[in-house]
Amino acid sequence: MRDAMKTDAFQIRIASLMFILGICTVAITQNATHQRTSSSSAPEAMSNVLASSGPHPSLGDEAKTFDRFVGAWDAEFTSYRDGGKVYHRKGELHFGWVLDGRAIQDLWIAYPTAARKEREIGTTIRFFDASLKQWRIVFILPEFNYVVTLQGGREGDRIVLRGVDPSGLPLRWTFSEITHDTFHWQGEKSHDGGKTWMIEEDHHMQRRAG
Amino acid sequence: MDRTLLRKMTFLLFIVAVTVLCVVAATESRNSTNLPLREAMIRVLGSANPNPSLGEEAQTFDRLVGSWDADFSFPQADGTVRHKKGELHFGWVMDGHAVQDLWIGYPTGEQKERTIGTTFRFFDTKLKQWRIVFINPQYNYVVNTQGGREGDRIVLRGSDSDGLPIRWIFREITPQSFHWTGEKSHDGGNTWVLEEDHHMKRRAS
Repeated sequence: MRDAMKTDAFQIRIASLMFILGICTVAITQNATHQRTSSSSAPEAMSNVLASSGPHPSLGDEAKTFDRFVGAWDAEFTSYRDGGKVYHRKGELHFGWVLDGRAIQDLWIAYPTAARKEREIGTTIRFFDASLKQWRIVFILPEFNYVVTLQGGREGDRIVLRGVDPSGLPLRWTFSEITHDTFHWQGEKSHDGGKTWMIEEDHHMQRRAG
Repeated sequence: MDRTLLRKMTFLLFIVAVTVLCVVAATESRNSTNLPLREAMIRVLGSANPNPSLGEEAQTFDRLVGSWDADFSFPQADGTVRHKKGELHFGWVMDGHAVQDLWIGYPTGEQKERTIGTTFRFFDTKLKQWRIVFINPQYNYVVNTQGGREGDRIVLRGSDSDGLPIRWIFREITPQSFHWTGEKSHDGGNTWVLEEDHHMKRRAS
């Protein structure tokens, strides 16, 4: 009788062990399968190879210029246009190191509005030009057939980038009031060769919790 | 009695250990797919397909999406040819409004680190042409070209950073291979010098 009970208890233990092992095997296998498809499925291979976890050591102290923006931000966009029109929009920004840490790529996303059904999405590549000793920036917004290049770097506690817009007018993009969790971004244009500047874009960002 | 208790304890410990190991393994395997917040950009960037607004034009570069092994050749002025191996990756990005690719050259004797450049390709709806920006940070290099399909080739034209005309051509395009040439003109486009001559083979997935 005692032997029979022992055998029952033993069988229950074995059964429960097999059950746990079974659950674990299924869990691990599912994760492994997910990993395999996400790392080798053709359309996603590019972005997996693109990303880097940190700046390349060759950047040295210059990496800090944009490293502090790495992560995700909620954005309040304000745009001023000719005739005094003001547009408010919400959106998000994402910054990340790419190309073995030799560049930062970011995404500027504006959420859909009543007038625009699809969100807008632009990207910037930022790298430090070792011969110019300046950061070079290329911003691309396909939906507006827009490509613009600027260059610059830290000026005091700001980052100032200068360039020319597609119509030939001087552009100035400034990151200011930079804290760990917030920053302010302004885009200005000059219609008199750089004597006076008009604010066209005035955006406030807040780092996403996470 | 003592022995039974010991056996029970050992068994209990064994069950706990197996459970902990399984949970750790499962969690680690999951963490490696969920990139940390620092890498969130990448998750938002990629798109599975071209944006429907591109219509038939999407096909110009859609057929290159995926991973390729590359045999790079660089004919030199003295008639010799420098060879290098590497890989290419093409993928749709930005809600399918652009294709981004990576051109990677493996390390060589003189170059310890791999070289890595990236291209953005989007269809300019006003120009009715593809616009291309290629960036290679290691060489402080940014160049713009534009163009599109010409017969069974893709031809892109622009100016190099030294101001000289360049011509980039995708040719002999099949699902499994293509040939890419980069040419430069020193006489305003009358004659072209072959500077880059690369052969790609699609990676088995």
